[in-house]
Amino acid sequence: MIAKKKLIALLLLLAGLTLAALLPLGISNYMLRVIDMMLITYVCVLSLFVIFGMTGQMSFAQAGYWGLGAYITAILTTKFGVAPLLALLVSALGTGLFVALVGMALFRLHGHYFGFATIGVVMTLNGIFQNWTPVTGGANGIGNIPPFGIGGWHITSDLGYFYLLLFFAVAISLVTEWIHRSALGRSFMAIRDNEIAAKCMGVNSYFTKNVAYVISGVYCGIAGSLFAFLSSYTSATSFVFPQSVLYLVMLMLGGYNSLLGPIIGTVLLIMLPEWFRPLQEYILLVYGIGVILLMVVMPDGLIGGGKKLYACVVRKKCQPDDFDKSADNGIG
Amino acid sequence: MKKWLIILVVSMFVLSVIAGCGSSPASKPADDKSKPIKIGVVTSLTGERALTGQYSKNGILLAIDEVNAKGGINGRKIEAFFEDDGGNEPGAVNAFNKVVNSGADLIIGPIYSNMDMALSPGIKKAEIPTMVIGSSNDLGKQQNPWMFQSRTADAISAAAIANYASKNLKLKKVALLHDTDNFATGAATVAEKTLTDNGTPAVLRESYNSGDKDFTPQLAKIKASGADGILAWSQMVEAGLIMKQMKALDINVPLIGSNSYITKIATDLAKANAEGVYSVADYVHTSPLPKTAEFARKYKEKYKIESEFNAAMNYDAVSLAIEAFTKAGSTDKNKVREALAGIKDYVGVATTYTFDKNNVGGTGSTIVQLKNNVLTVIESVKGR
Amino acid sequence: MALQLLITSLAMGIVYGMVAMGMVLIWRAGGIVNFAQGELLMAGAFISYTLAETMGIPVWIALVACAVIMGLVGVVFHFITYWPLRNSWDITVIISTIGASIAMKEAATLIWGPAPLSVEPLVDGVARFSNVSIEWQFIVTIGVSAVLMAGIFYLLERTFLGHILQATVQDQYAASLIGIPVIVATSLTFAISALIAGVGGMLLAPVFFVTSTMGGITGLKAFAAVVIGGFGSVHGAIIGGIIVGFVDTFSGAYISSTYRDAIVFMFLIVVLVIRPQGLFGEKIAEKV
Repeated sequence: MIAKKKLIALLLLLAGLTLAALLPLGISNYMLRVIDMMLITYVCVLSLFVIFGMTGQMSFAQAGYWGLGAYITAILTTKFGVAPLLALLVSALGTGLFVALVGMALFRLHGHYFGFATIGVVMTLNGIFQNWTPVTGGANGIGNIPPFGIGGWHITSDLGYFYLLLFFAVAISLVTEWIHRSALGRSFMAIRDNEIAAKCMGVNSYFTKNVAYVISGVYCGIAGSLFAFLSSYTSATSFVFPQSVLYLVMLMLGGYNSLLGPIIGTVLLIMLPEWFRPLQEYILLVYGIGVILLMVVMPDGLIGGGKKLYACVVRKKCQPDDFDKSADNGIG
Repeated sequence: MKKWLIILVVSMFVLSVIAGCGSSPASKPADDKSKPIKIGVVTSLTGERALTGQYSKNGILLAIDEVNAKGGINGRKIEAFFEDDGGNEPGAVNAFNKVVNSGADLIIGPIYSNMDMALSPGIKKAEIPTMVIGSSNDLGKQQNPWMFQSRTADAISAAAIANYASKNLKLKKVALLHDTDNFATGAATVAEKTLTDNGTPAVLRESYNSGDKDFTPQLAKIKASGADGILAWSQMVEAGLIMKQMKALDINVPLIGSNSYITKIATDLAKANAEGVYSVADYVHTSPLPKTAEFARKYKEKYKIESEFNAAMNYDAVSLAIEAFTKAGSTDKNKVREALAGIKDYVGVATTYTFDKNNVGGTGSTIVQLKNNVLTVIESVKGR
Repeated sequence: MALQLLITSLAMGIVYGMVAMGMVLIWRAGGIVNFAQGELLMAGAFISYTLAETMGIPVWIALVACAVIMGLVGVVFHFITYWPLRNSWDITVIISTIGASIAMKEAATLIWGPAPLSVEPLVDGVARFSNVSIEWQFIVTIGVSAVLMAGIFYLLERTFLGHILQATVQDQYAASLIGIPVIVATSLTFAISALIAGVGGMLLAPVFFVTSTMGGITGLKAFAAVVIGGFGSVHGAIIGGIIVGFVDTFSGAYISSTYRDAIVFMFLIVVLVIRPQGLFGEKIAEKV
């Protein structure tokens, strides 16, 4: 039975990958670039999924870590001629290490105060990106980053990057789902749901939160490095607090209870402006109002809201209480 | 595994939705004589810099309407389409890709050097002739065969104001104040060197980040340093704020600013505080030169407002493009690029253009002063 | 020079303090962080432009009118972003205030255009004391803000209405049992909060011009002030604001004029690490 299920899964996976592989052949270069950026954003939203969705620790610094990854790659490849693959690795580990240090200092804070402190982290990082001219190029940023490649082989087209990014997005999704189901993931969620109870059950909350944070930092480092290769140019204007807020909005709109949330949230928020081109200058206004409405109507995000709607309509188990306090899992 | 299947199916669905919405790949625009020539423009339509984009659009449309009224280039009309850069570098790169994708024959880039620098690798890759209007010296240093700087570089204008400060105004203790962006940092460095060469080295060099609003710390330090003059390089809103805060801090020494200081946006904000400011102007709307005067008149007629810098620079960029298309006799990218590179002594509304080996076009600028709210030309600076 | 910087930083700090105070009031009333507080300041600045510049109302009357309008804006804001979500997880309310901040910024751009606008100051001109000169607007800002904040402090601590508000804050359920209409109390709190942020915007408008982005960094610095002062403490927010003003201006002059924003937020982290509850915050018991 299990073997059969696995076979079906494998077949579907193959079918899906074939479809994904064929997909970009029919769309414009511009759209391809948008999708490339969407995959990078998705990895960043996944990083927030790990630290916030699973562990319940609000971090506003993800865009800063994303930038750190990008700058490490940019500096290593342009100033030291480091091979792209090694630069990617160093970006991931370096960002992870930095996040570990931040986490060690800031996880002494509890609840919202940790989130507040991470706002300080992203603002500080951005200030350094923008002003440490000898290293980060200051307001000029760093240009002419070589394309990603292994050995003598280089990616030259946006299509090539699409496959590379798709690979990383799928791989990181798999890792995340694995964590989600592992004992480690359960200890993350125990902290999210009730930190004191988790401590009583023998979870070392300080250490566990740090582990979750480092994992999320590594994701951001990878996303940042890939971003540097894709755009061949980095400047501080990309790695700002509002970008972190955007990740949070994506996660909350999609829903933070399963991997589907980050996928739906990222796709929707990246693609909506493309679909609603004709609205032009009204698009952000509509977006802002839409966010409020969605929160009012579906406080659990689209996935959570959809499930509840399903329960309401199909199982006729609609309780008024469903929409109130439903997501109150003890944070704050 | 079940959950995974759902995820996969949903992601496939999502991707196919995207695919459905994406347009088909841009077919290579053939050199079809019946179709209009397409000029793509990357400019700020939204965000804090949207007003500069509005003025740029005015200038571009004026130039295009003129040539189309005369029957176009060899019978072909010109058509411009605009993409928004949102006022920042990633937005500019995004907009540039969009423009390339819509099959532009020529592209006009932003007036901000930082954005142009960000576009440079993409311009090289796209192999479409692109006019950029930033003034940074670094743009020429890129030696990008497809990027043309239709502006006077800061090497000329920054040296000009430094010389004017030490030679004409006889200032001995000049303080420098500048934005940390590409254009302002580069220009301040040029001026610092010129001042030192003139035997009047700068007493202080202060900087700030784009978008800053409170310049009290910098200005207070300049005041305490006893400087007898200030040279400043800023974008337009910051220029307005600096002029205002200078007067509030009772600093009454000559201020010689970059071109931004006498733009309409800056002087409208600073109002009376802008009185007496010197600047090195790319475009002077009161200039008596026939071509400039005609542009100023036509612009005012069409848009009912006074013409200004952004409009003039973009008008010149389009005029240079038209010149190149006419000379090339086709929209073949390589021919147009060669025609642009070969342009010599072309008189525009802002200055005279001759593209050098690094594709830097502008050859001079003008030292001006705002007196009784009227721009007065003091001297013309010929760079090369 | 130090005296010059002192007065400027006090004026800036007191505006940060006002915005911060608004955040604290909302925090105490609803247990949520309002990410649109900076945009309320922006709204006040734009409204003052319309009142004083477009309609030509005398500035001091415009100040009062602006305060009244902003109070109403606060009530509307309350009913859109907070009231429907009052019983759900606080993060959803945060997201809805983020949505509101985006919508407000864009609405302002659509209504007033993208160009920065300049507004006449309440009192024109520059005051000079020996070698220090300061815009009168700064002195007016300090005065008006101090009076306004003292008034609100008095209202909350000394009047019956204030006690009702405080009671509601402490326990909404218990307050409703003894007959206090919670909806009136919370909307009144939002009104006061929007009012002080809006007045702050009107006071800043002549100094820094009016742009749709002016709320962003001001809101974040006010937020830093709240955290430094200690969440939930009204006087902590004001003192936190003044501290942020000082750190901002003096680090700009004596450490680095380009790193000043970064220094403010580094200071925030340092304060949090040394004293997690902020300077005046009560020791927070972990909620279970």
